Amino acid sequence: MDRPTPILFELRIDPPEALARLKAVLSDGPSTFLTDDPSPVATRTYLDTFDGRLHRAGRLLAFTPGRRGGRLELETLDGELVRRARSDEPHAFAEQLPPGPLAEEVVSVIAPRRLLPVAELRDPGVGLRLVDELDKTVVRLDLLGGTVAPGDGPWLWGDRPPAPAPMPPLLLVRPVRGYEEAFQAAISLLEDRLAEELARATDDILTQALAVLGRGPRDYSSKLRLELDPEASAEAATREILWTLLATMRANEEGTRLDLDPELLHDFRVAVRRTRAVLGQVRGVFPAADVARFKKGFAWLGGATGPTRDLDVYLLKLPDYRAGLPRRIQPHLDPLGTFLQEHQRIEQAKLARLLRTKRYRTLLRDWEAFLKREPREEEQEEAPGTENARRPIRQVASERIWKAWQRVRRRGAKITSESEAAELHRLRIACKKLRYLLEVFRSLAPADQLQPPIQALKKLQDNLGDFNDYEVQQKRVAAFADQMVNEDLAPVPTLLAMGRLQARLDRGQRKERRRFEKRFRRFTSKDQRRRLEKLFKPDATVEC
Amino acid sequence: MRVFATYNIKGGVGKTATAVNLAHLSARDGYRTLVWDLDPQGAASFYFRIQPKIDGGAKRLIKGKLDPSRLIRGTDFLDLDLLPADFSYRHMDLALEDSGDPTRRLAHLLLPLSEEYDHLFLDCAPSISRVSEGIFVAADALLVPTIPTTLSLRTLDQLHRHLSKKGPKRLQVLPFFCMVDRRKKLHRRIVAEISEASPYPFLETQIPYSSLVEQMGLHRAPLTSWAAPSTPPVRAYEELWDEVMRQSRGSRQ
Repeated sequence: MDRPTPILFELRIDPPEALARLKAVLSDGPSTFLTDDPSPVATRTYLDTFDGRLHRAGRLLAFTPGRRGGRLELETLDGELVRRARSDEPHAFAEQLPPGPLAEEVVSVIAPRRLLPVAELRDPGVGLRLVDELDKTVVRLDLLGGTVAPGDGPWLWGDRPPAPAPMPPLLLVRPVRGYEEAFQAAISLLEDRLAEELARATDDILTQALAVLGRGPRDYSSKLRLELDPEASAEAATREILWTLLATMRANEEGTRLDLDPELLHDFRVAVRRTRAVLGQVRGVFPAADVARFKKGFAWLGGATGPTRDLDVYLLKLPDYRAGLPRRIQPHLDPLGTFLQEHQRIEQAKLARLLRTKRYRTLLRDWEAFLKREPREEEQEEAPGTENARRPIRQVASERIWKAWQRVRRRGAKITSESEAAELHRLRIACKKLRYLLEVFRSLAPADQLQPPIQALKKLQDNLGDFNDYEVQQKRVAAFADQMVNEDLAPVPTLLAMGRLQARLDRGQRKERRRFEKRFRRFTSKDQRRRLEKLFKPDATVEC
Repeated sequence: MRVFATYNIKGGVGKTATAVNLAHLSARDGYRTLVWDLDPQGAASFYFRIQPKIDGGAKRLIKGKLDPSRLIRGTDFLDLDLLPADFSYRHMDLALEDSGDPTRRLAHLLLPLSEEYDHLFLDCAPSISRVSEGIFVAADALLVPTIPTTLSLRTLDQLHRHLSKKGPKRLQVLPFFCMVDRRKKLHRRIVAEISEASPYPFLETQIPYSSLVEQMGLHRAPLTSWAAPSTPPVRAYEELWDEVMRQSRGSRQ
């Protein structure tokens, strides 16, 4: 059934004047008049993850403190209420939200990320209502104004949080179920009589509030969003890619240091890995000496940030580990959780220190300077190993992708049911390199052509990744057990439970092994081969 | 969707006040809540300032010719909607009789609403009838406001006899005392006697007698929306709601 959704208007007059005009205009409506909503609020804080997951899912989450306890409201971008919950504070992690339908929906969208206060509306305005002859509310109106301040939490978007600024005046008109006619009448009245003063808004409330602070709700994304010019020189394009990756590292640095949620470090590390892949895979673009220096630097950074991520991963897996064991022995894994948390804390502290060391800061500063440097013509001629620098990126990228793809095919074809785990591991690495290249250079090929092979490759990688993960996890669980015994943290039932866990991981690994052949066949099917040939085969490259 | 029905064979015991206030608390807790005012007198509709009228009347609604979700109206409170009463509900028995499946028809009508709402409160007219039998089938829990008079025990026994013969087994019956004056020795004695002899265990919460509850008619809004949170009846309704939710969680495990 079609029910009207709320409508948001931008106002061209200030709230005090707007209030008087609205009253005058709406009082002329069909037997309805206006009263002030008895419960104005002092602040309204919008919450979302660092990468705006709620906003991407079409949701706004706002916390409002109140005399009778605060509340959380989950709304659509239109302003239609989806779920409410009582809560005395704006919680950071989904697990801390008051249990109920709101928490369920929020968790399903944001896990394992954390909520951050992104913007705070102060004195956000007045609530107005249209009522019928029984004083019954038939239309709700919110006149919004006041100021916008950055959320009262860690400010992750740049060095210093911006100063509070005035919120653009908005009017949100919300229907009440069963009184659609009154809603339509109010909208018509407003649009007819206040045509000069208001216009339908194109952006939601949060987008408008953040715009005042010079931000947007989806400013950060872990996805590489690049639009490369295919005819640009390989050097310019590669610089652009690496610059974007550096920006991702910078964006996640502060949150990683504060350990706000595990995804920050993860994204940071992915950017480091992609940087290393580009340096290693896109050859002949930068002077060999520079490449060697920075490859070494980022290899160090990747290694140094590894232990914390490793423990994060096991902490994230722990609920699944528990769920895979019979209910009565599930609590036996609790000491493993304590052990992991304790070690995560230690490694995280080391990581936080590392991000302040001279070595780290110098690496990133030098790297930034290197990427900013304008190459001088003659220098380029002289520098050894830059033969590709001035060729178009389209050509250079195609060659690299073609080689990486051939390598995947070759290694994969050799694998039989007898093959050792090490061979699958080698194939996994080859796939990874191909995937990085495809993603980094994604904008050079038409999306509909590239999407199917990327999807099939992703499935194959999931299979190889899971197979490898099971292998690694079995070794790690054994190592954890050893360490726990040494630290006197492992009661016998816990060790027995970990033994059962090992057996489960082994079963999982064998299952993935059986799936491999099918996944590989799908990725190297005739269709996929043709697509990749058409896009990347040297000589056969078609203009797109 | 969990369905609560406020029900008593006897009239004037605080059924509507219970439905309206608990529904308001349910919505305040973030549950999408609907009240269906089944009483032809339309007291719940009155409290929410909504005209007790549905175009087409009970007959067409029961026949399935009216989509109940088109009749629903939002109240003044977020997450709290009302399916209004209609004077024709006094003939609902006949309409149910005509529908071919009188006991299950109401439950069937509610089915499409179960996606949209978490809690449904049925505010029922007194008496035992086809309508109440339908409600016993549709409801998960029967909230039975009981006033401290000796007659109340009789009505509880009647309900028990009826339900043990005809009622669905899974139906929770939750009686509680209403309009209790703790200062009256007689009330205290009757409360003790009825609790002792009742076929169903009583909830612990008692709703005290209070002129505030009577003032709901002047405010035309749930007591819990305008009276001070510290007043005894507001506190009692909050406790009652907590207890009902605890009971309903317990019964689902």
